[in-house]
Amino acid sequence: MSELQSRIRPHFLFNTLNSAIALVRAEPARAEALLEDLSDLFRHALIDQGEATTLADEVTLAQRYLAIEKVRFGDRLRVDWALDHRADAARLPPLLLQPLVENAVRHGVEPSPSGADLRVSTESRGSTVVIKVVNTVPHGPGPVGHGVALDNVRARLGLMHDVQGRFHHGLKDGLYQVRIEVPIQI
Amino acid sequence: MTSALAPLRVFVVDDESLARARLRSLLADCKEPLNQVVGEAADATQTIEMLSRIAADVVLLDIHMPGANGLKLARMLRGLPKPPALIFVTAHAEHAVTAFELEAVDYLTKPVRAERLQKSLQRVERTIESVKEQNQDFINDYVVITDRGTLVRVPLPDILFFKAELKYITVRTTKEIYLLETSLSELEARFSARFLRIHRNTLVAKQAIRALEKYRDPEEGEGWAVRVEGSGDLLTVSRRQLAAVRDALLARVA
Repeated sequence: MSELQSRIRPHFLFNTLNSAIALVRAEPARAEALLEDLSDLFRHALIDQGEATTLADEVTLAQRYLAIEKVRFGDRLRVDWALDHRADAARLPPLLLQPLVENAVRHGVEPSPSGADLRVSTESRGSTVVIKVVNTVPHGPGPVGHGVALDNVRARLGLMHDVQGRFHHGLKDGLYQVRIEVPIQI
Repeated sequence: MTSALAPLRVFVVDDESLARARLRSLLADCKEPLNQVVGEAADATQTIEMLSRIAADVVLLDIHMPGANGLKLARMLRGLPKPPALIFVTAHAEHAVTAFELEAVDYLTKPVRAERLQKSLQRVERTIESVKEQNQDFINDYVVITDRGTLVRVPLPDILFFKAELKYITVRTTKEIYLLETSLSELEARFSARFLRIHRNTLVAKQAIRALEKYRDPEEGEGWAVRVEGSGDLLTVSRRQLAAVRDALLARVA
């Protein structure tokens, strides 16, 4: 359970349940969809970290997560997907992409009344796959994260792909960008 | 218990519209106390702006919001001329201590249960009622007098004595004399803790009695009178009241 907590923040669970309860009476179908997304997310969070998953699964999971946050934040969360399906089979540690989009929500959307634009892209380049998560950040110094999620992603990528797994992140032209490169097995 | 009070005026602050909707439906379901959502806001700036125009008895307040968070907002709200009661509503459990330092009425965690919210609102209502009672006491600390078309609130401690004349009551303070249209017995009933009946036509502030003096009137013979501190007036004490006045004076010495 403590591992689950480290991967999914408790108040995320409570906020989501709160949204679902808010929807139950007026929009039961949306409440159902929300709880289904939440179940999927938790099921994946409980998977053994040692197992591998595919980029396609990771994208689906990130989409589930963002669908949940979309219910909470509405127009404040604007997501753009640019997916290259030739990259779908790339192997990744489970729950790698979700913490990255969660970071984008936490540091881009949450602190800003007008929200943020978020772009997730996958691209197959020969024998490697490039995954990018880019988000706008609010003006002024925002709350600084502890980088725990990022360190965790770096460590797990290293374990699975050794030096072939690359990981960069940083602020560029007012956009926060995370870039992952992994080999794809043919 | 049905409340005879006006509905509790509630203001809702949360950056998530669904969370606000959830609170609104909980509030609509809550019949005791009756309540009315007078407004809602998505952040601190909007809240301060709206609450400068709208009166609210209680603010339901999220903590994590863009811009100034709920704790900062709470500090700002405490500075309002009539600060509303605060109830925090958040998915985070870790701010409870700070919230109570800000004298919040309650700290609710999302998702909030109807019964839990109701309890908090009842707590707010009780607080408001007790403040009202205090205000009632406050009203009893003044005598309202019409003086040449002006309504004057004369603080009770300023009043030395009431004396019934033919049509009016004379109200003597350290500085002024006012005329009041009421009966002495009514004043006596209201202010018996502070004033003492010394004569059919006179109530004196116990605090203002400086001396009980004997006097000799050529027509009426020997009698007693009270010397008033502050004005120096000498007020006749009736034989019936003499013992009571003496007791009051001795009580003061003791």
